[in-house]
Amino acid sequence: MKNDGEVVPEQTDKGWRRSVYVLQRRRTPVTMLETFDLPPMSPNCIERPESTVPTQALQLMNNATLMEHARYLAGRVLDAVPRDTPRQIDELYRHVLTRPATAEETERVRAALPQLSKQWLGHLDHKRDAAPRSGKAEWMALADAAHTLLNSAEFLYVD
Amino acid sequence: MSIDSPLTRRGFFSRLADGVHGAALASLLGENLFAAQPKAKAVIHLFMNGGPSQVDMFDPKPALQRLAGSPAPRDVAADVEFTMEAGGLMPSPFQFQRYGKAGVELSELVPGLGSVVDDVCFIRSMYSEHFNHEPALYLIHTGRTIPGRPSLGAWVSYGLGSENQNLPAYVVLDDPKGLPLNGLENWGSGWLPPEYQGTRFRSEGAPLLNLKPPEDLPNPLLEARLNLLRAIDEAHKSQRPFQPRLDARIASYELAARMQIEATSALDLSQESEETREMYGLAREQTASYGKRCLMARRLVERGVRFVQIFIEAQVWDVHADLETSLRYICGKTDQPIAALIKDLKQRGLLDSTLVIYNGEFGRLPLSQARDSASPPGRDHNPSGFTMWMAGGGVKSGLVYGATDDLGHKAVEQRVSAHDFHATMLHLLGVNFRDLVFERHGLKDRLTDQYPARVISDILA
Repeated sequence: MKNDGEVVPEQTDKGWRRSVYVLQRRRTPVTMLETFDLPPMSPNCIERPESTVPTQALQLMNNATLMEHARYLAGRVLDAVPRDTPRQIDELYRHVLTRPATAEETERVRAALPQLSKQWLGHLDHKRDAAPRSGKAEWMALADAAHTLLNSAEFLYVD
Repeated sequence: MSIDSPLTRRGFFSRLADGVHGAALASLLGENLFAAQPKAKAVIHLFMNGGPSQVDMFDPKPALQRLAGSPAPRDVAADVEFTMEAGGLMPSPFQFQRYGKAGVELSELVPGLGSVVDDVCFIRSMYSEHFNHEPALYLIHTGRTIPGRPSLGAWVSYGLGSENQNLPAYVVLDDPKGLPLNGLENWGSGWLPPEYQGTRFRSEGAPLLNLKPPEDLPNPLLEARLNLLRAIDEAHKSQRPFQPRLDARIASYELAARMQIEATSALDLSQESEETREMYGLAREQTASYGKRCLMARRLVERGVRFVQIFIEAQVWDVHADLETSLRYICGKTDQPIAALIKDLKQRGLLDSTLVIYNGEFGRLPLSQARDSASPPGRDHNPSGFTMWMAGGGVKSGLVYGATDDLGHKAVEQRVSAHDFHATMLHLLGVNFRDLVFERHGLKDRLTDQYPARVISDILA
């Protein structure tokens, strides 16, 4: 259990387990599973209902782990196709949604990136970060785009 | 199709089928759901998991003094769970006195409750059907002793929804020291749509996990992020018309964004005056935890949350041993905050429209129980008779209803079942318990199931 009360599973020496195999205590259910309709831990579970509650959106929007993964993803894409924004966006779509981005989608994200990096630049300037600011702002902006795709309805829900 | 766009005929029926509007819509379509005039708009349920001891707090039995140590009569012995540990009849070690204009007798454990006794209605004749915690918890929360059914809070939010679109209708404030037995099932929605399950707000650390981003980021940046998400989802949605589940999912992001603002403010107790914080005992270690949750409950109800449930550490009321120390500890934690809650609701004019409920899953036997010769005695479970109380929300005040036998074991006068309690609670909220139904497997299922249930009209104000 983390300090803020979030319960997370522990990594085993062989790596992470799928959620169905995670060992958990009845009184401290794993937060991510609890938020997303963990089956009752009583003798039988006759049905797996699905819910749509705002705590799920909060978890996906604000959880530090998901943000971190979005940044790794953006970093990978920046290294793979440096200085080519449309291809970077296409790579993000291929990684997250397993399909190429349409021209319209590429344009939508491309238009948002300068605003995001401008905001980041101002924020980083304010923070007096040690790393080069413009490069970092660009990375953070692309990470925000990756994070947004990970929060999009197309990624989260099966049609 | 967005929430704001004009409703088409096809859109209307696809949403109706999805149950988004639940029972409230069914009533608009002609069902006689709101049979009574509602007295209560909201409920605060102080749930005392483990089984509070009625003969040590609410139901004085002088006969036990006289019969101290006598062997248990046969029908009392029949309720014993741990037969090897059972002793003779045991009087309460606590002194009782009369409180308030009503002169209700309560023990020294609950002087705070004594100070508000003229606003409280006691039911001394509750009974359960099972002497184990799990089935008894299912019964009092869901109407049957088996798992899988919706909790009473889920029924209320299904029937009445929330008055505040920025907060959930049903909020659970559990104790950081541990969940009750049956865990999340206590506030589950069973076979009702999952939207109606209780949302856990935490009373320590962040009130709601992930309510804020992990780093302190400027608002325009967060807004820019959200705008990109809106644009992407809007395009996705426009290619998939008439999908209410998808609409609801996308809308939940908007609710989450609004909740970030509203919930942060609702749960910020620093906005309360020093006097209020003092009254709830926030400065004292003993009362701080429960006091905080009581104060949060008032703030949530004030903002239109329909049903707030407060739980207490694991099953701390389950005093099989060391009755005296244990009860002093628990009442020390809860008595002052509970009295403060009632006074505070009253002075803000909220008590008339807020029903405060205090109960556990069963009571305790008038016998002693000894775990071993070294530990001071406790009491075993008693499903045959126990006390609960309600305040505000249209119940009579300063009333004692029903009675147990001379030993405080069995409810004998004006007996009240869990189903009677459920029917009465729904009635106070203006809902006829027979009409709040959910269709499944060809049945119209309800909170009281097929059990006989009655609204206890004698306690209605």
